[in-house]
Amino acid sequence: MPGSGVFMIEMPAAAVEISGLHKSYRKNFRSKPRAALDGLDLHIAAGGRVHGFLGPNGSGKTTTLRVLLGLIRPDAGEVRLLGHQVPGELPRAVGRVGSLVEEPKFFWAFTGRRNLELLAKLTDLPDMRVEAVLATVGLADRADERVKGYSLGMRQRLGIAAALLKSPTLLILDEPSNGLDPAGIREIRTLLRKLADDGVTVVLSSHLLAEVQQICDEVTIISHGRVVRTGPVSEVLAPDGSAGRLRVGLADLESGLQVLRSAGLSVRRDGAGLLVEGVNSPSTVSRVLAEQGLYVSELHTETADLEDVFLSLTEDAVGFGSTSPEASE
Amino acid sequence: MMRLLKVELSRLFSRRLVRVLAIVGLLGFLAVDGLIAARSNTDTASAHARADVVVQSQYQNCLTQVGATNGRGPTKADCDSQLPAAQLKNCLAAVAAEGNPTGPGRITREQCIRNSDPYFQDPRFHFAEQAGNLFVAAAFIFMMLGLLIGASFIGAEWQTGTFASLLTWEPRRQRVLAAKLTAAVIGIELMAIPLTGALVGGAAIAANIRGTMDGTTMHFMGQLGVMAARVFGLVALFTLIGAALATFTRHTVAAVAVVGGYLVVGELIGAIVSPWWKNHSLGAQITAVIQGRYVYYLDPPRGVEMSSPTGVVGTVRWHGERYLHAGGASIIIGLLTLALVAIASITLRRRDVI
Repeated sequence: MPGSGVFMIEMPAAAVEISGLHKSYRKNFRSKPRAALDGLDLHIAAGGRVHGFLGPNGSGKTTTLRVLLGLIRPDAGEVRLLGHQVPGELPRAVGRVGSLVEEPKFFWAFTGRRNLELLAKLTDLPDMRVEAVLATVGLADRADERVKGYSLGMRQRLGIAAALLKSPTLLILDEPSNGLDPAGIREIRTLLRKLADDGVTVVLSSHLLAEVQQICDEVTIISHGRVVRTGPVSEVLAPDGSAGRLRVGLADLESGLQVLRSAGLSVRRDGAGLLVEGVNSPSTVSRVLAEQGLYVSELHTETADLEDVFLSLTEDAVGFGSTSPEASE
Repeated sequence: MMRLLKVELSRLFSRRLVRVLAIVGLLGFLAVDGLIAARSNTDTASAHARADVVVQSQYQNCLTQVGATNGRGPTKADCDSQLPAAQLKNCLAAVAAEGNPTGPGRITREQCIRNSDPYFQDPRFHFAEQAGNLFVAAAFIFMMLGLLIGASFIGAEWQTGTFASLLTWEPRRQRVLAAKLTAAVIGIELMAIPLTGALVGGAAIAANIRGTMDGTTMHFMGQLGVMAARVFGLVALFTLIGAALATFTRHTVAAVAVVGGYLVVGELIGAIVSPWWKNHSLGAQITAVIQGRYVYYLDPPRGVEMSSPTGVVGTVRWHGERYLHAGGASIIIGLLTLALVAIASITLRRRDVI
C-alpha cells in the first residue's frame, strides 16, 4: 500500500489509561449480571508503537474497546484516552482517534466513496483525504461501487480507510485482518507498521497471534476481564528472561538425558531429540554433553511463540465449551 | 452541529426510500390532478336542463297527488317547497346561522345555489369546496410517510450499526439525536410542502380551466393557509414520533408497529372501555388539528329528548354537542411528542451502544 499520509501530532504520555474498569451485562432483567470486565487496568504509552490486545472470545476485549470509544458506559473505573477522561472529555480526543471495532458498519446502498465522504463532512475533511485513504487501502478502483457488492475483505479495507480518515494519532483496530486474503493481511501489517513508524499509536486486537507477534511492539493479554500479562513482546514471551528451550539432537538420547539431568537441567525426550528448558546459553548444554563424550548432531533454540504463551495464560478460558458475557452481547 | 445536520440531510436525501416515495408521491398527486381535470367540465347549462326535466316531472307528479288521497297527501304548498327556489331559501338561512360561511369544509352560498336543485349534477370541480379535502388527504399521507421516514431514518442506522460508527466521530449523543430529528423533520417538510403544493396547485389549475374557483375569497385562502400550517405541523410531529420511537426501540418496524398498533388496537380498546377516551383519542385529536375542530356528542341525560334548536334543515344541533379545538389538540399531540423525544434522549444517553 502507498503512504498513509498520517500527520505527526504531539502526543500525551499515555494513549490509553484504564484503571479498575468494571462492566457487567445482564441477558435480561431477571438474570444475574455477568462480569465482562473485572477490574481491568491497562496503560498504553503514546507514540509510534503497535500494542497488541489479546484475549480469548468473551474475555472483554471488545467491551474494553467500546468503553474506550464511549459506546459503553462502565460500571466503575477510570478511562482516559489521549489524556482526556472518557466519556466526559471524549469529544476533545475523538478527532484524533480512528477506530474499527468488530465488523465495519456502512450504508450498504451507498458507494464506498459516498460513505467516506459523509464521514469526512462531519469534520470538514477535504475530499482529497477521502481519495488518499481509498488509495492507501487499495480501494480507489472500486470506490464507486455500492458497499453491498463488496466482499468481506473489501468492506474490511473500507473500514480501515474510515479509521484512517481523521489522520489519527491513536488507531484502535479490532480484527482488521478479518476476511482479508494473505496478500491483504501482509498489506495491513505493512501499513500498521508504517503508521507506527510515523508516530501513530496502534491498538490492535486480533486472533492472528503470529501476525500480532510479528507486528506488535507490546502486547496485553486479558482473560475473564482482567489483564494477565502485559509488556514488550519479548518480555511476554520470556517473562523470566530465559532464552527459551533448546532442542538437542544426538545419537544416544538415553545417555544424553541422564547426563543433562545429572547436571541439574530440566530435560525431556521430545520425538527424535531432547528438549532442554530454562537454559540461557546453548554452549552450556554442548559442554556438559561433550565432557561425557556425547556430541550433539543438532542444537538450536526453540523460543516459545505467542500462541504458546497465550494458551498457557488463558487456558481456562479457551475452548468451545466456554461461555462469556461478551459472547452473549 | 450544522455540519452534523448537513451530513444527516445529505444522507436522508441520498436514501432510496425517500427518493422513491418523493417520485411516487409527485406522480400520484399529478395523476389525481389529471383525474380532477378529466372529470370536470363547465357545461352547466346541459346539467341544468337535465335537472329541470326531472324537477318538473317530480313537481307534476306531486301536484297530481294533491287532494287525491282525501287530504292525507301533499298540499300544493308541500309541492312548492320542493322546488329549487324554496330549497335555496332554506339553505341560505342555514348559511346565515352558521356564521362563518367561507372556511374550508363549511356550507357556502355557492353550494346552496347548486344544492337547491337536488337533481342538478354540477359537472364542475369546485376548488373552494374540495381544497380542504385535498389537504386532509395529503395530511394523512404525509403523517404516515413522516412516521415511516422518521422511524426508518434512525431505525435503519441501529440495524446496520452505523449509529455506533457515527458516535465514534461525534460522541455527544444528544447532539447526534438532535441533528437526526431536525434532519428528519426538514426532510419530510421539504417533501410534503412542494408535493402538497403540487396536489392543491394542480387542482386549482384544473378548477380554473375546467371547473370553478367560485368562493375562493381572501378569507377562504387565509383559512386554507391556516389549515396547511396545521397539517404541516402535524406531519412534523408524526415524523418526530417515528424517529423518537425508533431511537428507543432501535428498530424501524418496532417503531411503526407501536404507533400502528396503538391507533388500531389501543384506540379501539380505549373506546370500548371509556366513552371519554373515544371522544379524546389520538385519532380525535388528529382530526381536530387537521379539520380545525372535532365534533362529538354527549349522550342526553335520562328523560331528556334530543332536539333541534334551530329546526333548520342541514344545521341540526343536539344539546350534547361538544368540540375538540385545533389549538388544544395541537398542544396535546405536541406534549405527547415531547415526552417521546425526551424518553428517546434519556435512553440514548444512558444505554450502551453495542
